[in-house]
Amino acid sequence: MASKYVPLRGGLTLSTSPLDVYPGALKDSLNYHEDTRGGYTRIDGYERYDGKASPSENTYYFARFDSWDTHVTDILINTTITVDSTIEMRVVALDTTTEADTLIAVVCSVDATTIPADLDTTPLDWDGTSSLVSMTLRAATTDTLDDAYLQASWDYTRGLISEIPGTETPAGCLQINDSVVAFRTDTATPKVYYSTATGWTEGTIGRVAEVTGYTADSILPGETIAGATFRVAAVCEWYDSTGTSDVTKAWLVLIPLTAATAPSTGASTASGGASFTIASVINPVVAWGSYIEYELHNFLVDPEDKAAWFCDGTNLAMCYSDTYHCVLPISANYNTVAGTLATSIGVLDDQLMYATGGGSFVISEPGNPFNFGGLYGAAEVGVGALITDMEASDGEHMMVYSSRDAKKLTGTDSSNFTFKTSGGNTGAEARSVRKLDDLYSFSTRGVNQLSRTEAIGGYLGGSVSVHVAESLIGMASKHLCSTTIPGKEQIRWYFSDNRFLTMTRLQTENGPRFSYSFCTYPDRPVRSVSTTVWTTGVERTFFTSDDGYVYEADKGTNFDGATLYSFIELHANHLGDPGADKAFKRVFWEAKSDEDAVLTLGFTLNYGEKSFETASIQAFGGQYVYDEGLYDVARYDSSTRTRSRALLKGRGFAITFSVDHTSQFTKSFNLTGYTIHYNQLGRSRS
Amino acid sequence: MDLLGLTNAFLIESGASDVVASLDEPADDVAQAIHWLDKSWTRFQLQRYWRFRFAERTIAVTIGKTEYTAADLGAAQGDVIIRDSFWNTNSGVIEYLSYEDIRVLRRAANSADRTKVKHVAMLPTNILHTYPDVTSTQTLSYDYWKGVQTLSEATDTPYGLPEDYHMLITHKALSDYGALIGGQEGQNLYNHHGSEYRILYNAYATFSGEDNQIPAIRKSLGV
Repeated sequence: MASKYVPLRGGLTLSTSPLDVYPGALKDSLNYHEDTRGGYTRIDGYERYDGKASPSENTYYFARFDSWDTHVTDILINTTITVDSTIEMRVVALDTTTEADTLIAVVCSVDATTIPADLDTTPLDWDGTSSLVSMTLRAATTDTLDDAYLQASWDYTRGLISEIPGTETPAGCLQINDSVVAFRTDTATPKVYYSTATGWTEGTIGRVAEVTGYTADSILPGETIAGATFRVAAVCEWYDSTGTSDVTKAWLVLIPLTAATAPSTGASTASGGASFTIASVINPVVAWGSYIEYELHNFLVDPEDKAAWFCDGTNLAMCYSDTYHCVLPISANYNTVAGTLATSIGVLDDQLMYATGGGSFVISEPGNPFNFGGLYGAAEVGVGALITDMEASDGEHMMVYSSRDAKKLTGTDSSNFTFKTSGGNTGAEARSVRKLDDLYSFSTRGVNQLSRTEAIGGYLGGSVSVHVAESLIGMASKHLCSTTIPGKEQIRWYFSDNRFLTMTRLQTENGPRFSYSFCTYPDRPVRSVSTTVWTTGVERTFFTSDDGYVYEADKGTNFDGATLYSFIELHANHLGDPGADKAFKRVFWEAKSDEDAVLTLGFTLNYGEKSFETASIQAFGGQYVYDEGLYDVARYDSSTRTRSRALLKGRGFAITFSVDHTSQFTKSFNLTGYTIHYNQLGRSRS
Repeated sequence: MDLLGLTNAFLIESGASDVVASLDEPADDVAQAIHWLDKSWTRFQLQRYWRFRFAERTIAVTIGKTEYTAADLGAAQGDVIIRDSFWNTNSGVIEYLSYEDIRVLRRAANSADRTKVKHVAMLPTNILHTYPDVTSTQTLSYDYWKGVQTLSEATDTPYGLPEDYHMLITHKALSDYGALIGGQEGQNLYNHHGSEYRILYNAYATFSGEDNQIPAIRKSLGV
């Protein structure tokens, strides 16, 4: 009997002819992506987030209380109890029948570090009679019970997580210094919140004060004014209607240090000794726009430390200072802020740049993101088309995209800027440009690559999605936002039909290869997204959607409690001999998985002409290694590669496999390939 | 086993397809299986004058009619009438003659005894000739071998052959299947199921004693 191994790779391939296409490539798929380590990996779920404990990280224990027949104090379901002032736990289920004179309380939200190691010899007293004698991790005796207890634990934790306070659809979120910052308008008031271990905490919106009676350079950023109630983040020029600077006046960008939102008008002093008059105070930030796009950068000026420089398509450019949890407006001229906006933002060579929503972009003075004096190197550059996105490709070039082309800005300041086309057909939809070493954008042409080269012009542009082009038709107009997930060598483009396109870049000896697949979050379009590596080393992706929550992507085993459905359908495999029938005998599926996953294998012959009942295959979770011992329980959860067998039937010249899976509880798994056993028959009559 | 059972036995043995719940609008592999099973059963029935094919019938010979078609006889396509088994229930022995001999008698227009049928002759496709033209209705009884039963409906069950031997139909069909698909596997299937068929066939055909299915044909004339 002949056998053949087919490693799974290639991703979606729609343009190759049916006989030529590699049988490990995908004809269709949902919620899988090709893995840089090989095979196709099912995506993780997503779950709501506000800084509190993660639902998917919660698990349950069996807490055994002895002498329960004579106990004094009841334990009630859906209550939080503390045993002997030592372990706090939430009770999700009770069992007094399985073991005599014993209460088994199924509990969750337990801090594992508070469980004493010697519970069996030194029980913790509950009520003077009964004692806690053991805590056993995930000890349900059946899969059904295990799922039910896990779900109860997750539901409880999920219920503790709140929406971003406010009334409107959230504008989006960003990440800075291991914290998530969310933007949501409450009626007409823009509000900003940052995540903490106790949930969302409100930040502030800074003000800009118009100062008269001012002596040039008498106030410096970092000083405080008005009795140390406001910190000066920036001192900006005051221009009249002809654009002429008035040195007796200035605009101060202010960070509130107390509950007061704005300083009083009238005479005031600065901590550096200057005296001046506050003539007026403006708040240019109105209700948030429909997205948040940002760059993290430390300009080494006030506000101190790394800050997020962002825009929302409605307001002017802004800065979020994580030190002060404060949003600060940025404008080239605070006299004319009405109606000005920023649609895209970038940082090149210590200069803040933002697109104006028209055919131009503005460049700040080097190192001074709040200051836009032309004498000091600031500039506004016309592009000739609506700017859809801008992204620094390296330290020397800012790539500015319109829907049809890409131009590069070179130089260090207004004295030597040059601006030239570098990708004549390499356009981008708004917020679709992402950097994964090279730049990738999404346009009506599909996915475009713009890569640096030694050739004249310095850049090579072109579409890299020809093999999936037919699935991308009409998608450009649905594009919402995008993100790079460097840990997976992946870029994701999100669309308004709840789907997202993943592109994984895989290095081969012939250069990079691009693997595409589609995923979907049902009823949950990703409107604004952010990915950053936290100091824990974990790469985290957060997004906002149509409801009020911030969600963490690639987290947990379900979609915020809802079922995660996934499938792959491979291309037909004629085993190198399309003219001959084969009798298919059996197939061994190879997979890597942390926990057991039961998958449904479907197969058809002769391009779907003959179909058969589905079979069940399993990705076994590491059955060889005990890697976690806890008290008297060993759990098998290390990653290993496993083979699962399914019987095949039928004769035909080609076989097509599909794998379906639906669950709320199954961890991500990776399908790496299959080995098929078959007998060669005679000439195909089909 | 009915045809549905035979078909599913075929599908399980061959692995050509999933078993089916009905034979309505069969897909190609199932349609092929049904065809091979029917063909296999036909061939088996035609191998011999199996005992279970033996049957009796009567025909009423009426005044003025000396030629009876297969339809008049109630004979089905493929029924084989045993020529020398005719018996006149009114008068006893009938002597079988060839059609040509009867024709001679008719041409001679002898003054035969017209109260009973004296001679019969059979032409191909089961056409019966009687002599002489009787003056009163006579009832003739005769024996015949039934023609083949075809299998086409899911509930059609091979008659006569004990259920224990029904698998020989499937094995015969599977050797046909092996011949079609070819390759090493086809060779294996052909050899294996061919011998399985032959084992069951031999067991059935060589029953001992009165049940021996090798028919002992006894002349009804001159006993």
